[in-house]
Amino acid sequence: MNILRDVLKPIGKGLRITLRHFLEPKDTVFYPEERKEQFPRTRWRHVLLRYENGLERCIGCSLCAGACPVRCIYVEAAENTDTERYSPGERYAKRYEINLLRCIYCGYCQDACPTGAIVLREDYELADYTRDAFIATKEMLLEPLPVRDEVAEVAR
Amino acid sequence: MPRAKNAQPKLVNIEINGIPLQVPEGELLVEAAKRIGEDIPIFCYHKYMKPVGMCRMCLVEVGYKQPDGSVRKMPKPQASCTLPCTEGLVAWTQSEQIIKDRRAVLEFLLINHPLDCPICDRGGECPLQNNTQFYGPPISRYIEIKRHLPKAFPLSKYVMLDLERCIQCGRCVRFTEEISGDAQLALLFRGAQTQPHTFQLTEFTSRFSGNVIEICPVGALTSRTYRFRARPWDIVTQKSICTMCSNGCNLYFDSRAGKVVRINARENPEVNETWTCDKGKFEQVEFLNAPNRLTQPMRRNGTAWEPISWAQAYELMLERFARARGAVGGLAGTRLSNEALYLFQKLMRAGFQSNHIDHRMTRYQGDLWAHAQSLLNKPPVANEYRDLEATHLIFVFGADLIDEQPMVFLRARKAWRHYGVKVAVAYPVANAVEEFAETRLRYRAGSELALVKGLLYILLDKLPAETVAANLPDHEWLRALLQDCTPAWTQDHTGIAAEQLLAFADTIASVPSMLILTGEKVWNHPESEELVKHLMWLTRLTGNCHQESGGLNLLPLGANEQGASDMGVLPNRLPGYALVEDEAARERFTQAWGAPVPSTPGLNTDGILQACLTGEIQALYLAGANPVREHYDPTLAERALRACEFVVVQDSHMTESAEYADLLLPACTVAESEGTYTNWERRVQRFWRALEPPGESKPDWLIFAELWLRQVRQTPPFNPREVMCEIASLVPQYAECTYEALGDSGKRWG
Repeated sequence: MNILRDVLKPIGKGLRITLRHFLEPKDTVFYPEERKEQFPRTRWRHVLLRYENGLERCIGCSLCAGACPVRCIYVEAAENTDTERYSPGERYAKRYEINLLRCIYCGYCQDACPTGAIVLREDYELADYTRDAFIATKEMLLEPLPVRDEVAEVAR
Repeated sequence: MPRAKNAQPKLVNIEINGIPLQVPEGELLVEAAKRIGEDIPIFCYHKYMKPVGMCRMCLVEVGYKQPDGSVRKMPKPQASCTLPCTEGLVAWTQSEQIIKDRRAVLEFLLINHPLDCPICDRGGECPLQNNTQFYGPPISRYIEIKRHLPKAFPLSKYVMLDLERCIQCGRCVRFTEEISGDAQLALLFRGAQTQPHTFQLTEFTSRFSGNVIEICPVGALTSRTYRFRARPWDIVTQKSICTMCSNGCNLYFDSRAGKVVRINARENPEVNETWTCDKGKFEQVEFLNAPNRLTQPMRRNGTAWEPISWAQAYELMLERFARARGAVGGLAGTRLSNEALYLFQKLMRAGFQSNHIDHRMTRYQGDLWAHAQSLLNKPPVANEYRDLEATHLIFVFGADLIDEQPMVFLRARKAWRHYGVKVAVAYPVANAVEEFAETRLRYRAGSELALVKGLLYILLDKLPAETVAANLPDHEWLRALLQDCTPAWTQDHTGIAAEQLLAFADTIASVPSMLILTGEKVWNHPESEELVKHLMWLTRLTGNCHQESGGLNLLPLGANEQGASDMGVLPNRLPGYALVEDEAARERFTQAWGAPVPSTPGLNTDGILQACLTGEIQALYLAGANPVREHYDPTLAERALRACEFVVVQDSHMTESAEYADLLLPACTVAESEGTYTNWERRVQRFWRALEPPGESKPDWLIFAELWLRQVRQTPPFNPREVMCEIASLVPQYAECTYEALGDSGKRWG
């Protein structure tokens, strides 16, 4: 047995691979301090969008619930009044709930939506401790109201 | 001419899409096409209304066979909804021309139709949407600005009008003209501005306004109570029967998340065709969803209610009923199913050994069946819906028909409008029947008996002597009884002019058949027994007890009042009207029930309430009955309930009577249980369970079955189907009313 050929050379070869990978840029992300960037068409948790003026896009038409293959969406509609207006037009969603445990993130609701109100976005951190916590209510799904930059407005 | 009953129509040979078929002469082509499964798209056509050919959606190519065998085509397509079938008609419904025409018609309709389908309550079940999907153009070429009109205009308490969506088919306008007869809607303006509305933009106050929502082929007329409550794919639909009156309309209950959100009509040509009244369509939803539902058995503890378990409730009730030792009474409500009523009387009779059971809350509490059988040899209600169209004269007596029997009202109106049946009405105040009645008798309130006596007096003289002798062989005593009731006397007592009465008697004498419909004023007359007898004599004297399409109809008021009588919830009658004194009948039921049946007739409702006051009845079972509200003498009911030692109330809601209860048993509404109802024409119809019972409530039949198990210690029935099998084996009238035989549209007995 040749010590140099049969022992040290393979070890050196192996260590070279280790060294090469050691010097390469790393894929590991230091979650939760860092987060990986998601692809633009990733389908994770739903978001209910608003118009620029702050009104909800959702009109409570329940077409998403109709398109949903697992029936995980529950929509209860109500009528807008002039004093209490949530969305343009006559109808808005009073309750909008998605059972995230049942949802298969197929995105059919997004396809069905006539106003582009519901979209599946990149928020993938959905773990929780109780089943009840997976019922996403309208308040949880709705995009926050756009913050008015008053300083900029005054400056202008 | 009244419609001939069971007439055989003449058949003609026609050909649709190359398929030869035979149809009755005069049948509309659009209906004939359905026979070969060819659904011609329609908007304005409705099966139960006159065709008008307004929407042009049903165009077909038509030709006629010539004597030489060739087919001569009409130059232009024809509206199939206005085209009656005649010999040699040839139609093509799928030709290239027709496909093109349909697309054009739809494109035209959609020019001004707003495409707000996502928020429209009709979206998903909309004929315009469906027809566009099947026959319409995929895109619109119209890029100009659409017509804009007011949206969501409240037309009435129940109906919302959206003018933008209207396609001017005129269905709603025709409905109020042809069917309900109030003619409140009209097409205002002309051309592109045409819009359906009330004449002066006033409120739409029809009793049948809900129907226009159902017949609207778009979302122009929508329900205000159902507005934005659900979409068609959110709801679960179940077949059911209306419980608001004894008409037995077939309904669909649409429920969402454990609540009935909407009620629609279910077609039954023999009963309600496709109509409903607002009571059944809207008030019933309110009733079913009322907040005062009972969901837990409760015992009275001083002034408060203490929730207890079902086992404790049964134990308490049976202990108290046992202590009363036969001094128990029971009143059943008319919303209970036949199965529940049957088990109720079985429990009271064989279980608690008491014949003190009844369901009647009006003044008339006599032996109606015996009178009808002995005087007329017919049941107390002789006719069915169809007979209204086949008779010659409909005499509405003491009934506010539109309120008490809305479907009978619609059918009577149809009979008058389509078949020229004469209508006469006698009622103390103005009512809807007067609008089309030939004779209107507004008598003084409470003088019903004098009116019938006066009519009998005149008719005894007016009818030919041989007719009188044939119909009432022993009429001399009747003459003697009525010797004072001259037209002048009647005028004095009723306030109806003698000439008018004589003229009406002429009409009665001249028609071959007369159909009498009576109502609440007869049941609640102070001398109701006398009045009913006189009405029977009137029927007999005019020979209408032998007429197939005429006769006396003492219409019951409650949803299942007829069924309650049939099921023997009467103090002296077992199921199927066998007398309790009848040894053989008692033996038959004792054998079947495995427990003896008491042989003495019990007390009727008034008797039971009086006995509660005197202490002769110590325990009272109110199963779905609410005497404080329904009894003609609420004070008596209230005093009786207060005096009675132990009152059990079994009801779905917290009623006025339940306030006096010692024990409350939560029961189910029609939507939460299963069973059958018998309507006024003795049609036994099934209803199905649409919802889960709320809380711990149980269906009525199940409560009786569980009490039966505990009291008699016998195997109880496990479902309503089994109860109906037992009824069918014991009650000859219901022998063919098993669930299999009843089907969706029910069966009429007798």
